[in-house]
Amino acid sequence: MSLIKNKERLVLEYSAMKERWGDRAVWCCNSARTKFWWDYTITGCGNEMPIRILYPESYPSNPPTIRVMCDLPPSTPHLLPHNTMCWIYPGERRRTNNKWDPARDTAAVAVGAAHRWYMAFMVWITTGRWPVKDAKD
Amino acid sequence: MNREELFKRTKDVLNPETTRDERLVFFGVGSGGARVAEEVARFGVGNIMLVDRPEERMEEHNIIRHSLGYSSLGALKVGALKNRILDINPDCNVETQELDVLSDREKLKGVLGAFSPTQVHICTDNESSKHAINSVAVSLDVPILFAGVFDGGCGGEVGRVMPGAACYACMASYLNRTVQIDSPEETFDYTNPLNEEEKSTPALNIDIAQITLIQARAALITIQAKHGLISDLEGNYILFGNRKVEGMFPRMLHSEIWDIPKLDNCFICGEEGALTGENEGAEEIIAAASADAQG
Repeated sequence: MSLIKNKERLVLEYSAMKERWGDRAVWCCNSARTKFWWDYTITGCGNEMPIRILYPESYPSNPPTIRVMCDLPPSTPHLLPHNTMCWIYPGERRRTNNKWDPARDTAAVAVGAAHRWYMAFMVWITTGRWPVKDAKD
Repeated sequence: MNREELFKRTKDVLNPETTRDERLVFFGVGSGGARVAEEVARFGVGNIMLVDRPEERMEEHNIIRHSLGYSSLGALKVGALKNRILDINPDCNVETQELDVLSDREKLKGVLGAFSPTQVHICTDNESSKHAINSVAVSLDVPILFAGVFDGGCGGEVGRVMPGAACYACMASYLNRTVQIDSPEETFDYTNPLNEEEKSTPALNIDIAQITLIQARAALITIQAKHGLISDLEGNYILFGNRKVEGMFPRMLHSEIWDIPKLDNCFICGEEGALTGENEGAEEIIAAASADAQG
């Protein structure tokens, strides 16, 4: 985007995130204020997982990315390079579910998805089974 | 070139002077966009801009579904199509641009602003680029037309965004909730998570051509209606079935026209600050948030 150059969208993102996740979502930027992101810590099952929500250049045409900010087992499924969560259908075509909707969605949606990913991860750590159907199943 | 002679067989149906001052921009000149651009040149449209990704060249696998052939193999699509259009209508002013709409939004705004289009045609084959073009084009207050061919070429869609009405993001959001094009059983393709390989919808040339001609007709209707020559489209979204599809197209060559409503508080075309209801103090919020972040 030019998220930085789109003040209205910045305010929208900020307001939506604070409205949904309150002070748990921490607004961050670099010293030059040219890049913005959110830091957030997911808690549950007696554990916690820090994540970072990043805005790609093409935002909001493309969804935000979620990076896990702690070490995970190398064999963790549903994890893309650079510790990035696979949280949304990655293809280009419209799908009837699990899609990014630029008309309605903000990065606040990603945090909700990250919570669900975390719960699936905890099931996998405990049982060895990821409770989400894969394309090859 | 003799303009009168060129349009001798069509002028009684469409006066080419009606379309001469039009300025149409096409994003994506693949098998869909190329055909629409060629068709509007035959209407007598006087100014066309062709935009495609940098270094997008004609490859052999493109040929069987493209209006360009082997003589254009290896050539930039925008350049080869420009020659093709000028070969049909030498009176047309054709400009070309190579541009990645997803990574260079500022250039996209600049290119569109400088051309001052009267219509924007979105003929790209992926959702992200359609949204990216839509998000910039809605601010121009000109009609935006888009089209897509469904998997296997079973049918397709043509949509039109009029100033102040539902934008592409509104329509995509609406359609996601009401149209099931893909199998609901389909699950995530984690095997190609980054989708690095560009894939084109499998379809026959005739399947694509059917949809592109509807898009070209929608463009013509829009121009003629603007001049009060005909009544306008009754709706903003056309579905066309090339083949019978259970639950979607009850028979072959089935067509429907829908009027998709504008989404309340659409983040793309809605009022500024749709979520908060106002947008005053944007600078203060950002400055305060930034100060928090650094403090």
